[in-house]
Amino acid sequence: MSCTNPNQTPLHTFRRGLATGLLRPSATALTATLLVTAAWFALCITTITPRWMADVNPRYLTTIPDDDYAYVTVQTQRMATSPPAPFAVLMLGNSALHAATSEPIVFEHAVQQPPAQPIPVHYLALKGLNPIHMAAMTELAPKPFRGVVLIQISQVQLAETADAQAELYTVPRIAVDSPMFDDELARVAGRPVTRTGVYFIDHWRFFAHRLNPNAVRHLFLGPSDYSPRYTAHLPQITRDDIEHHGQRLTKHLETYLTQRDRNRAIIDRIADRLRAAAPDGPLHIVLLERPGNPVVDDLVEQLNPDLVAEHRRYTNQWIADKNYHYWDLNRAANLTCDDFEDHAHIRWPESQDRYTRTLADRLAELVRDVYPTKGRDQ
Amino acid sequence: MKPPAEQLGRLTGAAIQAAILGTLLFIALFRLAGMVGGTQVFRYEGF
Repeated sequence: MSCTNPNQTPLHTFRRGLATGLLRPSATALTATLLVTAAWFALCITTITPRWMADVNPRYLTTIPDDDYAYVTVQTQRMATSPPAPFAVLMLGNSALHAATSEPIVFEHAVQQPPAQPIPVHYLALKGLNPIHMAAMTELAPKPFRGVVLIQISQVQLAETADAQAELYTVPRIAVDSPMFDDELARVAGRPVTRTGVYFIDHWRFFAHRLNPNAVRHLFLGPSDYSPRYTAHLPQITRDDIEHHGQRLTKHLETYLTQRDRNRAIIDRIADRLRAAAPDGPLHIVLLERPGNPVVDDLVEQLNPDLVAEHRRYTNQWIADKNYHYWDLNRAANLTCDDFEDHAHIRWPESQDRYTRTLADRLAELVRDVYPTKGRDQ
Repeated sequence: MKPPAEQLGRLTGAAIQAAILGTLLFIALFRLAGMVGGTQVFRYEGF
């Protein structure tokens, strides 16, 4: 039996009930709590879609200043939702390309062929990018894709083992829906990749990691100050570092002969699919040798003369077999040891500008040569 | 029988409690999942 004071106003009674309902556990509150949790989950599932990711400001998703994965995921989704262009450029590389590039907009300015339609440049450089990521990115490129696809390669990349790539099974890094990514990952992991078809659930690892105090701070204080420009992490390279990198690269090359065909096959499948989707072309696949520290590269060659010579022979045969272009711009960009912080990452902005300019000029030259005449008339 | 004002108050209180705890539970579960199995953001620390 409840005792109520007849002198209390309804407001007092309401407040007393409010305090009781707020502070006392009850079956109603517990049920409602679980419903609210489920509602948040449902909201995420219905809101966070590839389309939403294409529109979001990536700086809200970046958890640390150089969280390229969020940035590249958003860029990839934007590319996926853009209409096919008569001619476009797609650039895929790992942190070496990222470190060598000052501003991706330079490429966009360089390749334009006025008065023809603007040529979009999709620049997707990702730390630790491997051919399986490339499979996803090329699959999401608007089809038919006509233009230039630039794929960064190196001897060390071709030596990457299936076990190392299979880590993408638990650490996928980017959140994109791509059956080709799943196929290639299943191939290296030896087990199928299961998907629910719900973007948020299929990529829960990507989002779960990004729900952290930084994300909450960004919501209230504005997005992070992430910049797509590479920031150097290491001090100027020393003699000891050069020795260290030479030894480490030599160690990585131990798997080159056993892994190169498998990694090459992934890239070839990517190219074959792109070509099949645009049988009339024009489509030019460019293999770009990764920007490299010449002194470290010379040391690696001294330590592994036969292996490096074999890679050159293999690459020449590869590009001839598949009709790829192959660019090694390290000499043309006058890269020296002092430009680098290690074996492959350019440290100084002026060095990045130099490499970017060299690559942009080469890209512009190719585009001028292969841009279809009908495109010029539009 | 409780007065209608008190019943309304209790219901409102329970709703506020559920909104707060439900949100915190979602964040906690998702954050826990992120710590256990989330994609780590690779920090370059030298080769």
